This record gives sequence, C-alpha cells and structure tokens, in this order.
Amino acid sequence: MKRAALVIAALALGAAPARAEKLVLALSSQQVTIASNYAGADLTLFGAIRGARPGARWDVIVQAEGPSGPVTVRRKEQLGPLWLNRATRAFTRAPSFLATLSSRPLQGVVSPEDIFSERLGLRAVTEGAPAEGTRKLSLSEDAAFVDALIRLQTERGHWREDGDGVTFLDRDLFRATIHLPPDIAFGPYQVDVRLYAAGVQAARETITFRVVKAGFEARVAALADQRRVAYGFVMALLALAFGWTASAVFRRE
Amino acid sequence: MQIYLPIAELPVNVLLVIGMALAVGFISGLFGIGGGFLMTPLLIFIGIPTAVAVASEAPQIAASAFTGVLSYWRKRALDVKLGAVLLAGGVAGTGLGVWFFNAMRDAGQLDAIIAVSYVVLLGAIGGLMLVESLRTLARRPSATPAPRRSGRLSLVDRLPLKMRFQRSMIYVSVLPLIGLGGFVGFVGAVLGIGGGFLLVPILVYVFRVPTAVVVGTSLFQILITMLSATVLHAVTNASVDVVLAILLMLGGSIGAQFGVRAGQKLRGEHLRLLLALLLLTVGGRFLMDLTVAPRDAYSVTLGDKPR
Repeated sequence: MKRAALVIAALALGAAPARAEKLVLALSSQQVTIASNYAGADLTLFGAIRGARPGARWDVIVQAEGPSGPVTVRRKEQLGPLWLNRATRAFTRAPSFLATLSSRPLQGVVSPEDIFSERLGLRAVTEGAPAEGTRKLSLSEDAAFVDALIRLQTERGHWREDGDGVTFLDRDLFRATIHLPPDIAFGPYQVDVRLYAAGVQAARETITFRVVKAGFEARVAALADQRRVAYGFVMALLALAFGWTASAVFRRE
Repeated sequence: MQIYLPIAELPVNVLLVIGMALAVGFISGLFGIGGGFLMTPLLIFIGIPTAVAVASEAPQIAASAFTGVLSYWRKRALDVKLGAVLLAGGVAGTGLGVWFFNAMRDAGQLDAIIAVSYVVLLGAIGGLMLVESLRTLARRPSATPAPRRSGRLSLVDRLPLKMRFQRSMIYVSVLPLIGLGGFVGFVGAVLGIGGGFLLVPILVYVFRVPTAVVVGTSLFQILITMLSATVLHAVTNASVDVVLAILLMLGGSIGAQFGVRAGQKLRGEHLRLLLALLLLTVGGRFLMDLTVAPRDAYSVTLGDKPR
C-alpha cells in the first residue's frame, strides 16, 4: 500500500518518472553442486525489465562475484644470475571469481567516474581492493601489479570482462551466461544486475547462488577435516594394501 | 575422462594422472628411489595445489615402496637392521627439517631455496654418479664388484659403536649411519621428498654397500618415512586427497613392479649411469627455472599460505 502510494505520488509530481523501472531476475540454477563429474559449468541469467518506459535504449551490466580472500602478486627480478621473487603486492581482499558482462563495453554505458564509484569491471574492483604494501610502490609500479593480477586471473578463467556478454532477446528481456571454471571456490556468489538508460542507472537488482560440494565429495572433505587421525591411518593402510596387492598380483603371473 | 578431486578441489584427467604415476612408479622400482622429486613438479604442473600434491603423493610413494620392499625381501636383498639405524636418525632430521621449512617460508624465499637445493643436490650427486659409472664402464670387462679399499682406515672407520650388518656386508660405526639418516630426513622434509636419490649413492659410495641391497634398504626406509608423512599431512593440514592418492597408487604400484623387474636385468653401473642422467636432467630443469628469464615475471598466490 505504502509503495503504491509513493509511486502514485511520484507519478503525480512527475518529478522522477525515470525510477519506475524494475528488474526481475532468474538464474538457471541457484545452487551449483560439485560432484565427481564436475568440470566447470555454465549458469544462465535471465532478466526482464518491468515498467519500461517506451523509447529508451537500455543497457545492462551484470557483475558476478565469488567469495573474497587475500591475494598476493609477486614479481621475479634478476639478482646476479638468478631470477628470484622480489617485489610483492598484497591485496587483502579480492574476489576469487569475477565476471563483468555487459550489453556494450562498459565505457559506452557509464561514465569513467561511475565505473570506479560503482566498482564496475575488473580494473575498478582490483584497484578498489583493500591492500597492504609489503614494499613501497610507485603509482606506475602499482598499476603493473594490478595489470598482472587481472591478466593472470583472466588467463586462469576465473575473471572475465565481456562487453558483449549480455544479449537482449526482446526489447525488455535479456540473457547472460556466467562461465564457472573447473577449479572454482566454494561458497556464496552474488550477481549484481544494473540497468542503465543513457548513462543513468534506472534499476538495480541482486540475485545469489551457492557453489557446494555434494555426496561423496562432501563426505570425503568432511571426514578429512574432522576425523584427521582416522583418515590419515586409513590412507596409510590403503597404501600398504595397494602395494601388497600389486606385489601379489604380479607374483602369480 | 575427468574426475573431480574432493580435497584438491579441481577436476583432473584420470588417464593422464595414472600414466604419470605409471612412469614415475617404474623409475621408482628401477632405482629404488621414491620418485617424489619427479612427481611433485608434475602434479603442480597440472594445477594441483602444492600442499595437496606433496601430501597425496606420500601414500603413493609408500605403496610403490612397499611393493618394492616385498620384492627385495623375497630376493633377500634388504637389510632391515641397516634400515632401522638409518630411520633412527631420520626421525630427528625430519623434525629439524619441518622447523627449517617453516622458518624459510616465513622469510619468504622458500621457492628459491628449494630450487637451489635441488640444483646443488641433484647436480652434485648426478655428476658424481655419472663420472663413477662411466669410469666403471670404461674398465670393462671387470666382472668383480667395486673394489674395497680395506687397507685404508678413513675417519668413518675409526668411529666407535661399530656394528656388523651381515646382509650389507659392512662393519661400521652406527654414528655416521644415524647422521646420514638425519641428513636425508632433514632434506626430505625441506624438499618434500623421500630422499632415496641421496641415500642410494651415499650408501653405495661412502659405505660400499652392494647396490642390490642398497635399493631394497632404501625402499624400506622410504616406506616407513612416507607412511608417517601420510598420517602427519592428514593430521596437520587435512591435505591428503583420497581420490588423487588412489589414482597415483594404481599407476605407481604397477609401474614399480615393472621397474623392479627391469632393474634386476640391468647391471649396477648401467643403473647408476641412467640414474645419474635422470638426476642431472631434473637438476638442469630447476637450474633453467632459476636462471632463464621467466616467460611471465608475475605470479599470483591465493589465500594466506603460499601454494
């Protein structure tokens, strides 16, 4: 009732008609289960724009983030004849998984200031990540480490930025595919979807999914973690059993 | 054919891992070495986190070693007494090695120290064995075993607490043997390997134990070390991956059998020449990593612990 009253009030005033849009989201799966045959997965996000005012050109930015943790980037430098890790840059919290998908390249959708204030894209997230310097780095040095992290995480398939990753199926219906890598981190994932019209954010909605171990994998991991001594001795006995079996089988031949 | 590893938390190709284990198992059985110094880099190369690779390899090395131990036991080419003395030193050495490992990791140069240690150890022992085996081969056809310089009394011969090891045909003080066990245990803990490639040549050249007995005894020592390492890794880090370990054991036990058979057909000096070349090759690979400009100078480490 309250919301309806507000909408009516807004419409009556005619002051903010641009805020009427609403995003409705759906993921092909709310839970990604890791079983023995898991080798990466694709999640499809569907979104509908409700209450879209006619004639506007919509842009959508989808940003999916996995659990965050500390990340260290090291650089090898030549010291005499040897190449050793010398300079390091530690990021106290950086996402293990990051995908920024948009209907057009980010620069075409939002202003450079908004890209950074809204943490959109790999560079903005990386530069905004809290850090602790183990060595004083100049600005250009620091940028080199940010570049390296983005490049290496992209090569591993854990980070991705795709200016063509959101497809409009209809005037107000869109789709984006999130590729999950084989060596994915477990835990909650958040997908932030932002709707833009002419560089102005019109709506924002979040949907989440979880990555969990299931069945055999979950039981083994739990056992290894909680019954450590028993697990260790079982592994040792297993080793002896394997060695003995191989010996017995080959002796008979 | 992919299978997901529950502890390493990534999928691997089953046939690739078994194939690698077969090859390393063959080498392990052939030379009486654990093969850890070959398997660790291979597993890390296919993306397994270092901690899981080292820990899951321990039961595989134990399984391969046990298969070999049974074979050599039946051929009476195993000196349990010598193995037990070596192990006594090994326990102390391993404890010291784990302490040193953690200290170096905190100092931040663990990778470089490991690489330099590999280059020095593999290069020195490989080079020594290469020269010796080539010399022996050049002296052919001398069917007699390595000559014993019985007339000369070295420092080792003058130490107290002498003990007779019938099967190895040596009569020496236990002090240098415990010291050797301690050294191998220390290096093994730092480098995450069984240490067979150190033990075999030192027993052959310094203590003049017959090659056939050395291989069986070295495997016995590796078996015990790796069984304790399996339990220790499981208890301290929960990093033993049962699926990975089973794949490695499957390939490793079979490979080791073929290796032991091939080893029986080869002459001692030929075996030592081959092992020397293998050690020099792996050592050279580590040297290249250290000295050649890296393709990518940057590397990313996730989490608190270095992987």
